[in-house]
Parts: sequence; structure tokens; C-alpha cells
Amino acid sequence: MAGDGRRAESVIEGWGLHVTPRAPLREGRRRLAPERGGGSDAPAHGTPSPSRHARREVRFSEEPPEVYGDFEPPVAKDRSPMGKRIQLKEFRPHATKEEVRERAYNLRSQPRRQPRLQEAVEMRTRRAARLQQENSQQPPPQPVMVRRRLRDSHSSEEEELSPQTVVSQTVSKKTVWRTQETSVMSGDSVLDLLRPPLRSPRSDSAYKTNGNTEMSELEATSVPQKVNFSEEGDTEEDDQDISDSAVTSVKVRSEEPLDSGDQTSRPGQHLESFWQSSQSQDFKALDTQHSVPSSKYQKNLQNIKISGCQKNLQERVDQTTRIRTKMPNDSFQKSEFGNQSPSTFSQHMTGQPKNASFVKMKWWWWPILVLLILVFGSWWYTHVPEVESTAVQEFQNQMKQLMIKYQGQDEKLWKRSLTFLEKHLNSSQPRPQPAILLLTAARDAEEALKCLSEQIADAYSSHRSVRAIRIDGTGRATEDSDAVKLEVDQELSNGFQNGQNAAVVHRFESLPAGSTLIFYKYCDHENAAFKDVALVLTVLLEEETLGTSLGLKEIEEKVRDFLKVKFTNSNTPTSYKHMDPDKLSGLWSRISHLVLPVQPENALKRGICL
Amino acid sequence: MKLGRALGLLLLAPWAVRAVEPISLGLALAGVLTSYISYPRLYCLFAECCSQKRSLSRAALQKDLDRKLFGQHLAKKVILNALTGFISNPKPKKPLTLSLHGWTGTGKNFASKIIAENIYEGGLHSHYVHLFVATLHFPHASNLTLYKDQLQLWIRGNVSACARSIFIFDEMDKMHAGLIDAIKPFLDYYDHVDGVSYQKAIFIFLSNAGAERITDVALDFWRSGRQREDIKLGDMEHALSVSAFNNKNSGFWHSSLIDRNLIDYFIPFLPLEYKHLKMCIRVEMQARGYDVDEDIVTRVADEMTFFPKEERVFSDKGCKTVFTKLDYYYDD
Repeated sequence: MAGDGRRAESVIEGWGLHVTPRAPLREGRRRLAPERGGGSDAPAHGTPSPSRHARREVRFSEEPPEVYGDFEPPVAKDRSPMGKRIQLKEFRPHATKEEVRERAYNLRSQPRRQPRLQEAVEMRTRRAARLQQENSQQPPPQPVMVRRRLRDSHSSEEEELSPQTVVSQTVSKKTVWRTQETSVMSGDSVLDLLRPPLRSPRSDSAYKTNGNTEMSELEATSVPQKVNFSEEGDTEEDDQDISDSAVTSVKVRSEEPLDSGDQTSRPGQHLESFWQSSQSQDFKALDTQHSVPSSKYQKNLQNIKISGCQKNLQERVDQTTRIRTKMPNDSFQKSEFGNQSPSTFSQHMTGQPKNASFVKMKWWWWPILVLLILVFGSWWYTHVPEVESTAVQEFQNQMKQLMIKYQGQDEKLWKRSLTFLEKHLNSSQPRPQPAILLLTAARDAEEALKCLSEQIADAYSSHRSVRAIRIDGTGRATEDSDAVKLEVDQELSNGFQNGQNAAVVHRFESLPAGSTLIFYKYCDHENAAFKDVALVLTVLLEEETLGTSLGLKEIEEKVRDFLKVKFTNSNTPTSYKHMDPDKLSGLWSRISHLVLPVQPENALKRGICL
Repeated sequence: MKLGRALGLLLLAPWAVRAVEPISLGLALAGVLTSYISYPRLYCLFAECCSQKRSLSRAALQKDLDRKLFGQHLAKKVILNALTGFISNPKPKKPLTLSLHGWTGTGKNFASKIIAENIYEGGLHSHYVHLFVATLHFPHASNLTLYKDQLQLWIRGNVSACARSIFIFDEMDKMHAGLIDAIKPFLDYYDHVDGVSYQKAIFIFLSNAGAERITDVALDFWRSGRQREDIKLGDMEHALSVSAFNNKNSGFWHSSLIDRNLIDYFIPFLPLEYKHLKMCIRVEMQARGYDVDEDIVTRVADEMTFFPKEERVFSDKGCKTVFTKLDYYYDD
């Protein structure tokens, strides 16, 4: 069974979690955060990291040593792309860890890359071409391009790279690459103009090492593409005087504003929008994951574990908290690199003013980035309550109309039901239990009961513009209780899963007794299947009239006794599926949160609601 | 913790030194972290582990039960003794099987939560605590074979991963008899079942079964003027056995389990009185951050229904639906 496989998998995961502490750095780092969903979090973090991993390698090797050489304050316009680059970098919390590893790879693989020989010019053009091609493609192909560049750059120069150079290169390359990616999105024309000239061998070798160690198998595929790019980059050679590829890539950025005023904004905007969209996607995904577990119950017959779902919820929450807590870590690590980079840069002074400006811009833009995060976060969090307040307003409007139409009702009915349902609509997610309302009436108010219960349920779900689920128990007392139970279960589950969030069950007392056990599932105060919904149950008493003098407590007792008589029968054998007084008391404690009377309405005609 | 301090110093080093070699620093960090990961005791300090040597603090459990569980003197005593005895036993012969049954809203789920939290910090959210609600997970008798297969596989898999797993079965009286039969082998005195030993596991069954009989005993005590705390387990057992356990036609789910003495402890939960209701309300008010207003407490408690009709001694629904009523008073 697929379900078995899934469970076995989760079990095996659980085994692995406890039996074999994982060696890889990435996962260990994840475990540092005190969270319980470590194992199941692995895939969530695993998937984005390889692509990031690949991209990052490329960036590491791209940065030439000269980039770090000088940090003259750049032109003001230059700062924006850098800043955006940094923003992107921050949202990859695992990046730094993987950088460390990749640096090790760089060191190891360096000697292998040295022997390649190619023309410096060729490399530059090829690199430019690759840049262009990369920009036109999605991130996954980038490593291929990067490796091609690596090879080209490396072949042209054969220098030993100091570890510091490599590290600094990786840092700057990473940011550079990111900006390059975004700039790619803005358009190829920009890149055509700003082909970075070939840079120093050191950067190239580091670049190559990185690419080669990580993606040797892809190199073969990249070779045929090299030729195409060589022509495009030729125009760029004269424009820039930078000594390394990373610097040139940096300069691509910085030169964009020089060349065309609005070009800087484009990559920057792309960066920002990209970041924001991914961020909003993250939040949206997390939010949907909050609501999904509650609705997964019916779908996933095989997933019988409530606590598993709750853990999923917890994991999602953990993921959000982790993402948020990682930001300070990232800033810390970034500052680390920031500290390192000036020192390494100073070691490789090459008189490149733009490099210095690049690093300085990075520093300056971090508070802006933090501010943007805060703004976005606050916008997100204020946006969600806005949705809820409109739901409450919609509900209040509908209820006000009902109050005008149904004049003969007890004011207790309106007051309590309004407070109760409003609170449920307003409460922050996730709600602990659904809102259960029990309306009762005597024979003379049968029509009013039917109409009012339906309209209250519709009012609750009015903000979603859907009707409430309707279940009628009239005349079903003699049907097979298992069949009715299944039918009610399916109707409620399908409805709640498909966007409806209110249900009305007419004549609850007429349902077969055993079938009402299904309401344990929907009305439990802790483990309800759907927690952000409302259920309106109606019970029609057998008396002729209720009278207006009864208090809520007496009405509750009336209904309780009535249901006891209706549902329990000393003749029925007690078994797991037959109702008995003990089960009824459990059911009663779940459905009787609010028992309200409905009085007769003279204006109501048969079959037509007001 | 020493490791933490060392890590902190390591991470802070670049700030101070400013010329730290990033690669070697990174390698050092990698080495430290790898060693941390591979050393279970360190790892277990941060993440949850299934520790075989986990010991239960009797004092902590007692404090929790006293503070949180109202009106269940029998339950508190039995749970405390049963649990501490079982956990301190290095080689138990069979898994601990508790049956918590009684009136609704009296704290059965709550007690199982307290038990879980005292054994695993995560409580019900721990990886090693599994909650099955029969009305939610196994609602339809027609899917019995599916439920059986999945349940058995789930239990087996989790106990093999962690021997000290806790399984809580809620609404046992609504669970299909065949499904209960499916888990019977796990509760028995076997060393191994299919290669997995269940002897260290804990099974907790919650149900409303026998609630009426328990209430009858409590009502008798009340009517004869005796104290609630004078009720002994023996009084309960007698009443329950006569009415339900030995009645083959009762369909009482216990019967098949009782036949083989698979339940270690029957823990009855008595219905709650007016004073216990007020205690529940006070705790909830404090939990919500409000000051305890005795007037509101009284008014909310007065809104609840009581039975029997004449004496009005016990709350109909225990402490359930009380907090909904609290909302009205705090909205004004």
C-alpha cells in the first residue's frame, strides 16, 4: 500500500534520525536549532540547497583576487545593485555553511585545474557569452556556464591561489553571481554592452576549481555551447579595465548605471521582486500548510496519525521560526565575511576603486535590507488580520439584516450567537476548535428554526461567498446508521475541504443514534478534523411551545433530556457503534457549547425563508 | 555548557581577530559540529532522543498531577504509582497498559497529556508519543482491515525505533472490537512479537465506558454523607465488574482485554462537582491572562447544568464547554 510505504518511510526516517546522526554539515547545522521535526525537515531544506549549492560554487570561483583589492567609494548608483545582491544572499541561510565546504573543495581541486591553457581574450568573450546565456536560462543551468567559465579563465592563467583569495573570491563571486543572475533577467542587451574582460588568473583558477570539483559531469555538456558565446563578448573588451572576471562582473553592475541610467534599477528591481515573491511564497506555503493538515484527514485515510499532522504543523511553524531566526545568523556570518573581505582585499591591492565601493556598499545596505524585511513582514502580518476583519464585518452585516427580518426572537439568541461566532471568526489562526451552535425550538417554531439556522450558517460563510453545507436529518431515524454516518462524514469532509466553512444539520435528533458518533470527529475541542469552521445543529423538541420565560440553562437541560430519550434505549445492545448513555454524555459535552432557543415567527410562510 | 561556550568563542573569534583564516576556521567549525552531531549525548541535548535511560521524576509528576488535575484522587494515586514503578523497572515483563475511563470532561485526556509531558518534554507533540482518536482515525467499520493494517504497522515501526514509545488510544469505547483485537498481541506478556519487543512501551486507553456506574458509586457516597476522598479503588472495581466486565452481552470493550488480564491498571475518573468546576474556571482565567474575578467564576459555574435532577451534585459535562461561557463575560 502506498500508505504503508509512506509510513514505513517516515518510520525509517525516524529510525535514521535516532540511530544514525547524520554527518553532513548542512543537516547537522539544522539540528542545532532545537526543533523536533528535524528529520522531516530535511527534504524541505534539501531541495533548495542543491541549486543554491551549485550556484554558489560558481560564484566562489568567479571572484578574482583583485576584486578585493580596493574599495573606493563608488558612484552612488552603483550601490543599489550591490545592495540587492546582498539581499539575495541573505535569504539563503544555508549558503554560508556550504561556502565553507566549497572553499575546502576549492583548495583541494585547485591543482587539477592548473594545466588548462587558453587565450585570455577567448576566456573573456566566452565568459561574457556564458553570462548572457546564463541570464537567459534559469538557475540550474548556471553551474554549467560557470564551469565553462572556470575552465576558460583557468586555462588562461595558471596561478596559485592563496586560500584567502579563494575565500574572498567565493564571497564576492557569490554576490556577483546573484546580481548577474538578476541582471540577466533584465535583459540581454545590457549584458552585451557590459561584457566583463578577462580577469586575473587567480580568480579564474579558483573559479574553475570550484566548478570542476562540484560538477565535473556537466562539463561535457557545456563544451559545445562555448563557441556560440565567443563572438558576443568581443565588444566588451575595450570598455573595462578590470583585472578579474569577478570584478568585471561587478563592474557589469556598476557600469550599467553609467551606461544607461535606468539599467541599474532594473536588475535591482528584479532582485527585489524576486526576493519578495519568493518570500511571499514561503509565507504562503507556510500558511497553507497550517490549514492543510486539518483538511487532510478525509483525504488521507492512510495517515491515521493526528499527532503526525500536528507535528507537521509544528514543523511548518518551526520552519518559519527557523527562517526568521536564521536572519540574524546570516547577518552575523555576513559580517564575518565582511570583516574578512577587507583584510583579504587589502592583501591584494590592485588599485581598483570599484571593488572597495562594492564592499562598502554591501555594508551600507544591510540596515536597508533589514528595514525592508521588517516592512514586508509587517505588511504581511497586517494583511492577514485585514482579511479576517472583513469576514467579521460581512458576518455582522448579514446578522444585522437577519435581526431586522426576524423580529420575534429572543435577544439572547442574537447577542450570544453574535459574540460567539464573531469571536471564532476573529480569533487568530490556528483556531483550537470549531464553533458549534445548537439551536432548538418547539413545534410552533419549526419553520423559523429551519430558516434561521440556515441563514446563520450562511452568514458565517458569507465572506467566502459560499453557502453552508446542508444536512437534513428529517425522517432518517430508521435508516442504517452506518450508511448515514458515512454519508454525513463524506458530505461534511468534502464540503470543508472544498472551501466551505459552515455547515447546518437540520433535525439532529432525527438522525440514527449511531450515526451521530461521527460528530465526535467534527466537534472535538482538541482533535477536531476541521478547526476553522462552524457547525449549526438544530433540535426540534416535541413540545408545542417553548415559552419565553425559560432561561438558557433550562433550555439546555430540556434538550439534553430530549436527546437522551431519543438516542438511548435500554434495549439496544451496547457496542462500539451503538449509542449508550456514556457515549451520549461525551457527545453532548462536545455539541452543547451554546444552546439557544428559536421562537416562532408569524411572518414566515411555509417553505419560504425571510 | 562547555561546548556552547567554545562554539561561541569560536564564532566570535573573527570579530576580535579580524584576520582569521576563513578556510581553517570553517574547517574547525565543521569538525566541531561533526563531532557534535556524531556524539549522541550532545545531540540529545538539543534535539529529542529516545533515551533508554530516561527516568521519571516522581516529585515532578506528583506536582503536576496535584496542581493540574482536580477532583481525581484515585487517578492521581494510581497514575503516580504505576508510572514510577514501570519506568524504574529495568526489565518490565509487559508493556504498561492503563485504562482511564469515566465521566466526560473529567480530565482523562489531560492526565494522559501530563503523563506524556513527564516522560517526553514535547508531550503530545513528541515524536515518541502517538495519539489515536478512534472517532477521528477509525470512524467507519467498513474500513476495518485498512485500519488494522495501518495501526499494526505504525505501532510496530515506532516501537522498533524507540522502545519507550507511548501510545494513547482515545475514545476506546467507540473503537471497533476487531481493531482492539489487532493490538492485543502488543499488550501481552511476550518477549518479542515479530522481532520487536513491546515490553517497554506504554499504552493508555481512554474511554467513557463505565461512566454511569462510576457516577452511581460517587452518588452513593455523596448521598450517604461520606467524603468523596473516601472512595477507594475497591469500591469501584466491584461495581464495575458486576455491571459491565462480567456481562458478556455488554459489548463492553474491556471484556476481551479483561479476559486475559491485559490491562494493568483501571483508573476511574469521577464526575466533577461544583467546586471543581470553579477551580477549572480559575485556572483558565489565569491562563488567559485575566485576574481571577470570583464573581465571574460564580456566574459561569452557575450557568452549567448539573445532575441528578434533584440533588444537582455533579456537572453534566465536567469542565467541558465552560470556557466558551467565559468568553461572554469577558467580552462585555
